[in-house]
Amino acid sequence: MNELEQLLRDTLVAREQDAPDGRRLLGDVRARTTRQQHRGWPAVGLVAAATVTVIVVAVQVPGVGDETRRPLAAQSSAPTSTASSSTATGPDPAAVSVGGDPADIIGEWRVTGANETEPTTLTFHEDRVTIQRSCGSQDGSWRASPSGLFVASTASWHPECEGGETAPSWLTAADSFAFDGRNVLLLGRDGSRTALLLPVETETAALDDPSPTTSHGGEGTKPGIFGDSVPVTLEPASPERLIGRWVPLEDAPPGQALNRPFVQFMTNNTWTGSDGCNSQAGRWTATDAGELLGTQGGQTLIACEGLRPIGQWVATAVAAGFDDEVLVLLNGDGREVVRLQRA
Amino acid sequence: MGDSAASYDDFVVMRGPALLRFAYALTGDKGLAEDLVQDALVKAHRHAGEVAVGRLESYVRRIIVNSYVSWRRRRSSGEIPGPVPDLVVTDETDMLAQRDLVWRVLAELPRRQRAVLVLRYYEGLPDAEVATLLGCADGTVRSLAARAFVVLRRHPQFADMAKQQALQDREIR
Repeated sequence: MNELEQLLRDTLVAREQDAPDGRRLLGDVRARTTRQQHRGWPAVGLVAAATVTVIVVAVQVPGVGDETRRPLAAQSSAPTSTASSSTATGPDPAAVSVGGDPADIIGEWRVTGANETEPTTLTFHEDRVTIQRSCGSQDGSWRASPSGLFVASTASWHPECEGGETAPSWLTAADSFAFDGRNVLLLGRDGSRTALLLPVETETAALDDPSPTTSHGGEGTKPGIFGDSVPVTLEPASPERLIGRWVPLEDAPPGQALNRPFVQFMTNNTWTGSDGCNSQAGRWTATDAGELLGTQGGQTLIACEGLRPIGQWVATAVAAGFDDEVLVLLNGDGREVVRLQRA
Repeated sequence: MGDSAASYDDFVVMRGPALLRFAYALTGDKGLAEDLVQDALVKAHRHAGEVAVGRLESYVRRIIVNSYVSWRRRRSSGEIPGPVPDLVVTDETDMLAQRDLVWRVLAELPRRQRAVLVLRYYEGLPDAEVATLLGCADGTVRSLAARAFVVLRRHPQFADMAKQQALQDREIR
């Protein structure tokens, strides 16, 4: 250990005396774990059997949010306001901390403060989300990161629901989440609240994530690999730089793909693409730090050779960086998913 | 249930202060350190029965590190170190000032770089374990540490240390 390293170590050890003493720690932890034990969780598959869904080709695009995306990191200084004039009461979003364990979102929630005209519940499963109304249900996908990034989209609709073909804007406009006690706040890109989710109490026993190292059921995700995991050799991809059409750097293997595979990130936080034979679409969100989360909506299922799994790439990425002008998507293990070049 | 609750309480009481010191080394902020440890203990509580007793502390520390590096926005107690002064350290009696300077420089580092330094030099972990904790490659740990030392050496007194070290290394050879 050289002199500078020794000085560093001595400094860190010497500063121990300034650390909090922890006198309140046990009481605070006890209070929060007691609340946690009282939270109700739904059984997985609670609503799946009764859901009639029709897969649609394109993901539903909300009627809001067509302006250029503002990086989430810039939101802390943005003025905050409630997203609707609902009677639902909730805290000022600015007063709660954004982010937390995405696994804590898994469960059944009553949607308030979102201009819904009838009772609506939202059920987050590990790998999908279901919106339930009296007329039927919509299925979709969602992803979230511990730092608070959130994205969701629907991939199905129920023919008996008025307006059921449209994904609710309070869900698709949300691009971050926050916890306030037992409630979840969905926040828009300007920091305003798009919905307040209240836990639905059930008599079902708590369903804890069986894996201590899993924070969210998205493929390949685990704590601590979001955003900052962009390797030092890559430049974190900002949302603005992601906008546009990208094609795989490597040519597709010889096959019968009808079109050249591509993904196009659009300013309204939707993406469209093709695996070579099937149109694909979904939503995406990103930060200047290189975090990237995407969902995949419905798609046609034409089989042909030489397909490139564009949707899967976007839906498993947790970060994106640039190697010069080449866009590199990274998964939850920090491994490269794909290299793309601007078309 | 009662026994496991009591056991977890014991763990919090016994190891809580050490976890707070660790979190404080990471954050340099008492309020954030308390938030970080409290959040980690609440998360770990859900899985306490699944984690071997001997591994519970390392599990909590892993949560702390991961939460720290992935935080984007979090309220702060306002305990923000001031600008780094250009101190002139003349002898060992100025050690306190030197340490204060190091502490201030640490506050300027990106979180992953600071986490690497804390895990390496405060926790004494080898790079392989640091890499596992941060979910990155060993080489990334070395790279992050190197970049952090570049920042430290920007300050004249630390640059001198680096030169002296280089001279010593040359004499040894």
